[in-house]
Amino acid sequence: MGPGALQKKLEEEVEAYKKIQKDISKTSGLRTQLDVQLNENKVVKEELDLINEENVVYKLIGPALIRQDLEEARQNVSKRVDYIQQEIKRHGNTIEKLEKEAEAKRENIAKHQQQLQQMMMKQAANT
Amino acid sequence: MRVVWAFSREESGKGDSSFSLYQAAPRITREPRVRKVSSHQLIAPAGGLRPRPKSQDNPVVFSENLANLLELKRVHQERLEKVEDELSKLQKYKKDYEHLLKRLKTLPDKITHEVMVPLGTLAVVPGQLIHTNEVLVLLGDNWFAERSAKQAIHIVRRRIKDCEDKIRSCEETQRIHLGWLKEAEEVLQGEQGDQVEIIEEMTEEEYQRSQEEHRRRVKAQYTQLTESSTCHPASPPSPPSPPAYVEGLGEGGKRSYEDLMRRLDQLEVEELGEGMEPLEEEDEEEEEEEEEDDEEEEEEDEDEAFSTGTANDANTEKAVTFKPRLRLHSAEAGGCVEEDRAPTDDTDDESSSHGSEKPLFLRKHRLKRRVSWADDARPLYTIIPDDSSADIHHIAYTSGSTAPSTLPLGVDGAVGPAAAVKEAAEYEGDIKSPSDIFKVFGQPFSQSFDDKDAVLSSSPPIKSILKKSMSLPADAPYQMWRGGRGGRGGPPPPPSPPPKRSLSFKPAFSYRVLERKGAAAAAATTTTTTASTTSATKISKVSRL
Repeated sequence: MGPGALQKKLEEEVEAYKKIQKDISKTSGLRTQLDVQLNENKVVKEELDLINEENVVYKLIGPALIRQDLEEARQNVSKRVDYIQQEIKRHGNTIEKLEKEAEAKRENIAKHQQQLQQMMMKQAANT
Repeated sequence: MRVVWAFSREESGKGDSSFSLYQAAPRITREPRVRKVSSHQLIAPAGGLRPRPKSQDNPVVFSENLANLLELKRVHQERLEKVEDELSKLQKYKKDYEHLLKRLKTLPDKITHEVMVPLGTLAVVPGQLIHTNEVLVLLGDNWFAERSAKQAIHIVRRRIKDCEDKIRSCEETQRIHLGWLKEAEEVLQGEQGDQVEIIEEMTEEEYQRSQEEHRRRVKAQYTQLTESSTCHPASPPSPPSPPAYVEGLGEGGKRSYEDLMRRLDQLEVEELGEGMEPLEEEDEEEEEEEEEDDEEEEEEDEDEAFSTGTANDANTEKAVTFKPRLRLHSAEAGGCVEEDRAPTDDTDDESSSHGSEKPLFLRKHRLKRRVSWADDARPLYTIIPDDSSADIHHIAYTSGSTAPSTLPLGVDGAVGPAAAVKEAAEYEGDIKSPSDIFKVFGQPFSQSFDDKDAVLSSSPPIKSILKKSMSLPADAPYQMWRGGRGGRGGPPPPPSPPPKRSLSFKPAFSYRVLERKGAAAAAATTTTTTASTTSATKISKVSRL
């Protein structure tokens, strides 16, 4: 492979690597956000467990406060907590996978760079 | 007008802040861990006292370290700033919550409060606060709960507690970062200023020699110490550093190590009154441990020590390890207590102390089992399990003339008999005793098995049962069996049950054949062994019909 072609290949690899990195950061950002939500919902769950039936619970849906049943609210929040945990796990897996890909890409890039360098040196030696 | 919203907004303001609160916190607590590792790695070698080979790239390494340190400092500084921001935010929240608490306490004092209500951003309108005891609390994630003022107070208190927890963790992180910064600062100064890295540069041989010297001096010191300590039966000082593997022994090993050490000390005090090097004790411990743990390894070590025998630390210990064993053997052999210095031992100063060890060793080893290759020999016979166990694969086997079937037997020659036996089995289902076997199988099958005369040749003379091919695993049991029976000196039985064969429900061996030679004995044994596995288990692999 001529040095030009190799260089182009290298650039492609670098592009792909950058894309993977971006994906990783995006996913990890999502994951942090999910973490926050999880914490918050945990607090809500605790509070809901503490109040007794007589108090009213509302949910903010858009601009309106809609009255909710306590039991229903509790269930909703629990389900939400579980859902968020699942999402976190899923995102975690995605991040791992992406990181592995990134690692592989990095090695690939390093290899190509080496090849390129060698070729350059050879060319310099020839000329 | 109901100013419920105002409160909820205020509350929601708190809620939002608590939202971001949670958002910020995890980030902080998680990341420092990464940094800590790297900085640790950087800082450790700087203060290390290890001999390094003479290197030309010192200035390069230096500047690298410097650059790394600066980088470290910078990053820590960043994190520190973030943490401090976080901390200040949290403290503001806490203050706000405390104000809210005060307000909530005073709110239910009056039925209505006169207030100036903000109308939009540019106007305020005089109004009243009604339903003063009812508070709508934002629990988080768009969930509201209507609570009384008192209950709201409880909620607020809980939130304040949360805040305090977060503040504490933030402060912890801040402290850590400050600590790292300080360290980095110091190292930086050290490199530039009056502190010097204590690096001795030496070659490999110099290193070895210095190790030797060190070892010698240590031994001398310990001899001295133990001499002084044997005057009073206080336990001598523990050896400087137990050998690496002892440390790796784990809890149980270490405890037994200590026990043994104590026992040795006692014995030493009782018997000897001579200086005994703890190093030797160490090795004895090693030995004891090794005996307990894995004899074979010891044997191997012994061999190694024999073969190598360089003045190496490990080998020294190994050498010492096997020396007692040598002595032991000689002692056991002839009761001779002469010191049997191994020719491979290089360190001379151990000789004096060995004499004192011998009686000790003798005693100890008489107490314990002897260590030798012979002792280590595993029982070479197979413990044949009970008839009912699943391990036994009963192999139907006859010498039969019936056409070899396509039975999936891997044993040559066994196809025929198995087939034959199967047929016979179907034919005669109720063989109750060995004699029945004879009756059933006696006549017809006599030709095909010249080699394996095991089963039932009534007429043809029994050929030698010694198998020509030793490689076939399937043959082994027969051989074993033979060897046990007729003393025909078959190959030593395999140390494992015979390999799996295709199943058949007829006995593998009919004792009938075997008992050509020792017919009476065999008959007797068969009858006795049918029911149980006797001590001669190796021979009596009987399978019930």
